[in-house]
Amino acid sequence: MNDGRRAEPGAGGAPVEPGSNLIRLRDVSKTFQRDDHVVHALDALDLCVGRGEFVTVLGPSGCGKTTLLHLVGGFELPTAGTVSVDGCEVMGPGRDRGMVFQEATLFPWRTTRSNVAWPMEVEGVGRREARRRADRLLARVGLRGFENAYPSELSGGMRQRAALARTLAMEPSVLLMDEPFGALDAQTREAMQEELMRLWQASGLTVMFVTHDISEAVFLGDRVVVMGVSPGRIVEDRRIDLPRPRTAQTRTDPRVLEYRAHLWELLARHRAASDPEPERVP
Amino acid sequence: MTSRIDRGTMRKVAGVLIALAAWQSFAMSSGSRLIPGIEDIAIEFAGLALNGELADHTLTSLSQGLLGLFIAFSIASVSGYAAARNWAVDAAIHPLVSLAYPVPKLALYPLVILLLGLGWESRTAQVALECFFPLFVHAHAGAKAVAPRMEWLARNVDASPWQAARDVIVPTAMPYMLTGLRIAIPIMLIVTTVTEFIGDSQGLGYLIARSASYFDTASAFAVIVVLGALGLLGDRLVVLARDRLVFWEKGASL
Amino acid sequence: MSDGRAPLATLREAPWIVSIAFAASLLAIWQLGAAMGRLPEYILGPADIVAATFDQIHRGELLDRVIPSLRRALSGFAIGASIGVVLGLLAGVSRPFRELFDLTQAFTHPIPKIALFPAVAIVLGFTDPARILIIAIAAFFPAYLNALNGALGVNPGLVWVGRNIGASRVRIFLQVVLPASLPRTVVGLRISLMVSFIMMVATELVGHSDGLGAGLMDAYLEAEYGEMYAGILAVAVCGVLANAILLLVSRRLLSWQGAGGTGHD
Ligand SMILES: Nc1ncnc2c1ncn2[C@@H]1O[C@H](COP(=O)(O)OP(=O)(O)OP(=O)(O)O)[C@@H](O)[C@H]1O
Ligand SMILES: [Mg+2]
Repeated sequence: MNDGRRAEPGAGGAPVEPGSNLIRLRDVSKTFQRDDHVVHALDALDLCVGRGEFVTVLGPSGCGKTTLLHLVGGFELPTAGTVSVDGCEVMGPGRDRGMVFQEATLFPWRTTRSNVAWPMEVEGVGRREARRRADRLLARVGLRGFENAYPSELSGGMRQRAALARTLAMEPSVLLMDEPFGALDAQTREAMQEELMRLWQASGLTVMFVTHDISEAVFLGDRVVVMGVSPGRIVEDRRIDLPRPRTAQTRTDPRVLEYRAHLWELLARHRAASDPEPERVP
Repeated sequence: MTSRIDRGTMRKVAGVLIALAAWQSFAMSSGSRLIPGIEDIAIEFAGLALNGELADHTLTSLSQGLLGLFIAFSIASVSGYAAARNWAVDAAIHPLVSLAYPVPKLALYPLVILLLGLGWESRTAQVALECFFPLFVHAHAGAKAVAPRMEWLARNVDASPWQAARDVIVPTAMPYMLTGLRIAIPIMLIVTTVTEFIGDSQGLGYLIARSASYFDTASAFAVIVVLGALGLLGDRLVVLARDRLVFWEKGASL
Repeated sequence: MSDGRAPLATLREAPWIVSIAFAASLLAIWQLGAAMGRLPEYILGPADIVAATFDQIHRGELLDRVIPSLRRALSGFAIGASIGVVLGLLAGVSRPFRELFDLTQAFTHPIPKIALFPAVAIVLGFTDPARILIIAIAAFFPAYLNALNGALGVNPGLVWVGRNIGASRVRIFLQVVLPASLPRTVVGLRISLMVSFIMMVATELVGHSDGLGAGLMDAYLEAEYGEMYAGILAVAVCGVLANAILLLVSRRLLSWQGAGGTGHD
């Protein structure tokens, strides 16, 4: 097995200069105790994400993508190494890092508006002001007219949009997204990707976006970080030189195909090189 | 389809009629005053209702029972919540509660009388004692049922423990607590009735015991009908509350 | 909670230490309070209770109480629960049958069955049959309702498979519906058993009787507090044991599906 400990910049990728890095992971390892053996979810991983950058994380199931996001989010702490955001070591979750989970975790007992208003209510924003801002956010994610609907009345894509709006309501500087569109059908998924691009373009947010889907990774990312399995590590960090803003047109760019083919091959190689029984459980 | 529904309704009504007819013929064929016919029960019911006794005793029973239920609900909610959220509290009280759950707490009634006397205090306390256990178990399970994602969400938005409890945990636990309440209401009626049998007192249980001491089974059954109606009413109220409070859980079994 | 103090972290790995320590300290405080003699005379300490219980066992009085009580509780439970399970399963598979019982059940279920006891006792006297009848009626309902819901909840696909391979109705009932509704039925049986014990004590507290409940009441009236506590302890042990045995049996019966239900619903 090759020594893929360091983030090797891909052919076209140069790491961003350290000064503008918002997220820094240095020598980060994470192990889990399962029954009687230790699972190395992440091993001596280094990664930097620049301010305002959109980084997609790609890799086979079980390579530690979710774990990586949880570490940046502060939901879990590294076994070794440090995770810092904006120069401060991450010791726990915080409102500067908003997480969008794979399954939209909306409160079934609150309306869409009230779900989105919740982070602001928690902060102490007045009820009326929180609702007003919630409506604005809902309009931004294309949910105008669904303010009073309950999550059970929304489609999967709409729920995911509402969850995104709620995360934006925290006014985070980092957006952590864990396969947020994984459960959507192909069309909805593409529409959501384009909307996300639109939103991000206007926001200046730093995004870490985990996905299984190569096309999604290429379409969205400034960089695609490819992870390999057992132990979880970065096997390639590739800059994606596609013009911004990215729209539906971007999908027809010939370079998209090139990136896809390259990443596809890379993933196939690493999947084959990894343990004999690949985990299929999401 | 409609004829099917109609047949169903007819069968249901027929079932009640058959049950009533069976009772009536049993009463008539026995020829004993001790097995009252339906008309005897109705007459006694009207008598008790008209002279105001029924309302008085119902009020007494209900106020004692509901107070006991309320006390049990409050203690069970707080302790169930605390145990679900804190491992040390859980380790301290959960085994004791599990151990005592299948024990009929009614066995403690003599002790409760010694402590609180034969009045309403001991009856209320006994109701609370017996109702506490199912309520605790359900409050505990409810507070435990919060999805880890929801907890993380609360941490992500920096919600205080109080905010997390109010906005995340209590709504999640609500359906469980209502189920607990639905189990506790019949228990409340049982304990209220038994404790009112004992000692000279007031309440529906007392009314039954008094009627029985005069060999007046018709009156006793009239009171039993009231108790059944109270149980049914309480149960429907909880279901109604469930539909309003936990509206997002469609068709959840209670 | 995660304040990182090492002893606390170790304790957290073995919470049973906290359980035992808490129970032990409760007992110790109780014992201390009793030993200091500041408590009313009817509050005995744990040591006195154990001593009184052994004394009662020694004189054979406790067993004389336990046996008639258990006989009533268990025969009432056996009669009521078995009828309940059979009718519940039948109602689960037969719609006309279910509809016939539906309203009657809805109106009779909420009646606290103990309320029937004085009236029944007028006819049958304060006798064993009267008590067993009340216990059986009380035990019937949870068994009936849970068996019914168990049978209603059987995956129709399983029944179709049975039909498809041409199994007879009886065979489908015995080999598909019965096992598939077993988890829920067993939950009903556990509730029935608990109800039976409550009714056992309740029917014995009232009227002239032997048995544990009556023993408690007599001891209370005669201010024989040691006897009273021995009775309480005996009731508790009976309740816990009966529940544990049923739990064990249900684990056996349901070994294919993991746990034996929660015992409440
Ligand atoms: N709480 C945990 N306890 C034990 N092992 C864990 C835990 N969380 C993750 N793991 C293990 O760590 C490894 C990485 O898990 P992770 O969820 O990060 O993978 P992933 O890349 O997100 O996979 P997927 O694409 O399927 O979501 C896996 O082998 C997983 O089994
Ligand atoms: Mg994952």
